[in-house]
Amino acid sequence: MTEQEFIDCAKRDKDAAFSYLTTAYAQKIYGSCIQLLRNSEDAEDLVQEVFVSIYLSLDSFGGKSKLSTWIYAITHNKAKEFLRKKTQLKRSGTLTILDEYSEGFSSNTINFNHPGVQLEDKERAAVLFEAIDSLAENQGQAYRLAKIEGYSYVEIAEIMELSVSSIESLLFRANKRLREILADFYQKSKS
Amino acid sequence: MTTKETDMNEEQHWIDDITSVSERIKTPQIPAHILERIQAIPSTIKSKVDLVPKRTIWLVAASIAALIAVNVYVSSSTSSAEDSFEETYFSHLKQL
Repeated sequence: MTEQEFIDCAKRDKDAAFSYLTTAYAQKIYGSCIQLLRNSEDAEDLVQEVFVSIYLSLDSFGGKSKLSTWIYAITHNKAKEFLRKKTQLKRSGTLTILDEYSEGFSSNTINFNHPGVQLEDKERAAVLFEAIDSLAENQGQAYRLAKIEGYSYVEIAEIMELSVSSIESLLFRANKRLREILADFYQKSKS
Repeated sequence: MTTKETDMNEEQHWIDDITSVSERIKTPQIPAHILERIQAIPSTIKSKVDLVPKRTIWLVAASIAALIAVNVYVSSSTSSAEDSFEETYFSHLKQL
C-alpha cells in the first residue's frame, strides 16, 4: 500500500487502515520499543500505548512525512513519556525496582537481553550496546537506527530532521568513534 | 610480523567481531498475545466510548442547563424584589 493509498484508506475506513498498520509495523515498533527501553516487559506495554496513540491520531496523518517516520516519532515521544513517568514513580518512592533507569534512553545495558540477539552473540552484544551507549547522543541514535533497527538513510534523515549527507557523515563519525571506544575496552580487558 | 603488529591485528579482529553482531541482530518477534491486544484496540476504544449512551449524556447536559437557567431566573427575580423593597423603604423615609 502506498502512502497516498493509506491516507485514502484511513479517511474511508479507519479500522482497515489501523489493521494494515498492525500487520506492517507492529514488529518494527516492538523492536524500536525494546531498543529505547531496554526491557522486554516495558516494551510490551509501550507498544500497546503507541498503537492506541496511533489509532487516536490516525486522522491527523496527512502524509507530510513518511508513514514510518511519523510512527517512529510517536514511538520515540511515547518512550520518553514512559521513562519520565517511571522516573517520577521512582523519585516519589512508589517504585523502587527501577534503579536501572536514568533520565534518558541510556544505560540498562548490563541486564538487558535483547530478544533478537542469538545466544552465542549475547556477550558480544552486551559489549556492543555498552559501546553504543558511550557514543554521543545523536551518533548513538543514528547508529542504532541504521545498524540495529534497519532504517534507511532517508528514513533516518527524516526522523532526525537532518539531510541524508549529514546522516552519512554522522554515521561515519559514529563508526569511527565506536571503534575507538571498543579499542579502549579491548586495552582495558587486556590489562 | 612484530608483537605490536600482532596485537593490533588481534585488536582489530576483536573489534570487527563485536561490530559484526549488529548484522546478526534480528527484529524481535512480538508476542502473539500482545499482537492480539493491539489488533483489538479499535473495538476496545469504541466499547469504552459507548459505555455511556448518547441519550444519557444529552439528558445530563439538558438537566445541567435547566438547573443553571432556574438559578439565573431565581437570582435575578430575588435581586429585583430586593430593589423594589429598597425603593419602597427609601420613598417612605422621604415622605417622613
